[in-house]
Amino acid sequence: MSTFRTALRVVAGHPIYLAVYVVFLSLMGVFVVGDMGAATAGEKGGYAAYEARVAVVDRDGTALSNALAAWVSDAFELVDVADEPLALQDAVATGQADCLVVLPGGFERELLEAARAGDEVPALEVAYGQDVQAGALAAQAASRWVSLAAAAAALEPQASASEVADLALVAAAERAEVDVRESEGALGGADRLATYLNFSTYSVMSSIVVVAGVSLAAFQRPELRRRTAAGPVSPACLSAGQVAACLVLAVAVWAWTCAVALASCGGALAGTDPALVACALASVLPFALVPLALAFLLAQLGLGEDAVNACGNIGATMLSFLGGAWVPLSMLPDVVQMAARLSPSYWVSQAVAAALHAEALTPELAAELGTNLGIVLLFAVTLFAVGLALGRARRRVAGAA
Amino acid sequence: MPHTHAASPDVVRVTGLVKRYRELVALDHLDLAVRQGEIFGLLGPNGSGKTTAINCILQLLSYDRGTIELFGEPMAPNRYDLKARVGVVPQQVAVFDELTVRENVDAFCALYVRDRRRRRQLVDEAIDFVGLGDYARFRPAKLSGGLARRLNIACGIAHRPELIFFDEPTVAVDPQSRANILDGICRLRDEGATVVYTSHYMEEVEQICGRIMICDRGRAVAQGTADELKRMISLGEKITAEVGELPEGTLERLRGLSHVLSADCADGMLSLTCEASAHNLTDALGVLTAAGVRLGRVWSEPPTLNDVFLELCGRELRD
Repeated sequence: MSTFRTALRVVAGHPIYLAVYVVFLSLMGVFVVGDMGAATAGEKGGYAAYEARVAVVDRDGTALSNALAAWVSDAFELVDVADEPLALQDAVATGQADCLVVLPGGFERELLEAARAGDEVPALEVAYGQDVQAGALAAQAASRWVSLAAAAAALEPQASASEVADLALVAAAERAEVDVRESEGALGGADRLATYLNFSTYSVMSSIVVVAGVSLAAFQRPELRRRTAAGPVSPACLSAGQVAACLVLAVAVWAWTCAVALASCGGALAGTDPALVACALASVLPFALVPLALAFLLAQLGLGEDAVNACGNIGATMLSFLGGAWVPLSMLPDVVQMAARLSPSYWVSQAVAAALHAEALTPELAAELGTNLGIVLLFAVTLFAVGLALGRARRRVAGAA
Repeated sequence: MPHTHAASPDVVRVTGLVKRYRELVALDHLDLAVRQGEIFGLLGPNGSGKTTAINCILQLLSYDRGTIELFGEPMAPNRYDLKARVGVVPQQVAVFDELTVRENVDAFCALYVRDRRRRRQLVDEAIDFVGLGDYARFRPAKLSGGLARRLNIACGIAHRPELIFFDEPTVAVDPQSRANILDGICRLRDEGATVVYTSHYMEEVEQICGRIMICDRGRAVAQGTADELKRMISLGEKITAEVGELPEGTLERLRGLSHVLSADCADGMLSLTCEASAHNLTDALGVLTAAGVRLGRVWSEPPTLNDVFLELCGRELRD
């Protein structure tokens, strides 16, 4: 049995790793994409403004406070609550009201005076119920109405409170128009595939680091290394056999990932240029060399199985995060977006996005893909070179001949 | 009975080998010659340089000075032709946990033998040789300590090496497995292999090794057959007698005898160590009889290899 076959046999001796890292994680990506598709599919049905149950306690009883209460009853579901401490507490505690707005005595007078003097308008007293999000939005809408009333009072210094209230009602009626459109292909097969391939930076990274790392680390156990080094095969040949086996594993993991991706997005990809799909899938192959090189580096450091597992998981989580697999990079701080450029997953996700959002495979697209994937390969080559150097240094320190 | 081959050519010849780890001198001008077809014992306390010497011979370690020849040719890290004729059985069980017994033997044999058919035959023979036929499909974790040691040996000998290094192969092995392993090593020798054997078990070394080298602090302290080594030390005979109570002054009179090195009595047992002489026992019995000592059992023994080892390497603890 050659070193190549021995290395593969060692991996086959760890069926749990193959099942968990290669099979389970890649299928998890299918669930992630499927769940996202289902969630967004629901949003296509139409647009609905948020709803909230609001209770208004009007202790002012003026034209302005009455007008605000009336507007609230139009905009939201108005809940009647007695103006007693226990009843007010119950209303928000039991979820009877999502938002409780208290208009204190002197509300109208203070608002008009402040607005016309250019001072700060008095804030509303609000409390939120169980649905804090709905309550906060309702409170914000009520505050907006107050701001509009203050603006009307300031603009019309001679206007009465009733006139100010009318002006505020007119202004509050102005709302942004909502038009529902189904954006073509926004969540079509190409996006599903891009999302899956973005997620696969995690599964590919962790599975290759672990399965290749376990195989390579097996040959680095001190007594085994001594035994093989005493044999008539040069260290270069031994390493070549091991790395070749791990290369086969990396390609197999990539092929499996592509197969799962196509199986999960296949039907939805009908309208996408097959050449672009092939480019996107092929973009992941250079990335598969990065965990392979990392596994080689870890083995050269003499790390054991547990350490390889830890490095595989932590490294995969970090890199996939920086590639935008978990949270879109655009939602992250600038520092993180800058740091992401130092990770290979960022460049592979750029390549995948470029391929799947292109109209056709053009020379410009090919150049862009080449640049992105060249950077990815550079990461792999660097890690491999560092591994070689560390391995040599380690053997030299040990006094090897 | 150990075989010696005085006229046989040297399979291993080490001359003036020096290995330093910074200030520590692990091997200090070590000379070593192993003849073809013998089992050569390498003895020494922990840290004496045994394993370092083997690692240098196998070119697993670089060395500062000296020459190493295997089969009459200079050894070098890239002399794969010479390495192909050597087998190694390391102290620790060095096998792949993920492979079965058969796969492990095959994996190591494949480093030496390319032809698959030939290898299959060699693997079968090696597994039979160590008696692991019933365990061929087992993984190492399922094997007992003794069986794992046998697998370790099978991996080192499957390619039929002409020279085999056994580095303490019987550590932590039960007496039955140890006897089996020692028998196997003698069979390898009988089939023409040359064996270099390191161990801490003196009786093993005395039992199977034709010639023995005792090294300490990186140097060869003594070398020869077990009998030759025993003659090198001052101790020639140990006399033990059941004496009950010794009359006053008897111990002093015994110590005053010529050739007696020491005399002690504890729990009714008298122990004398003497230089080699024809009359030690009769002289001692004469003193005891004259003192009116009522004797029980009395016996005399020649020195063991253990005595040789302790006298040459000292009795202080090492590690």
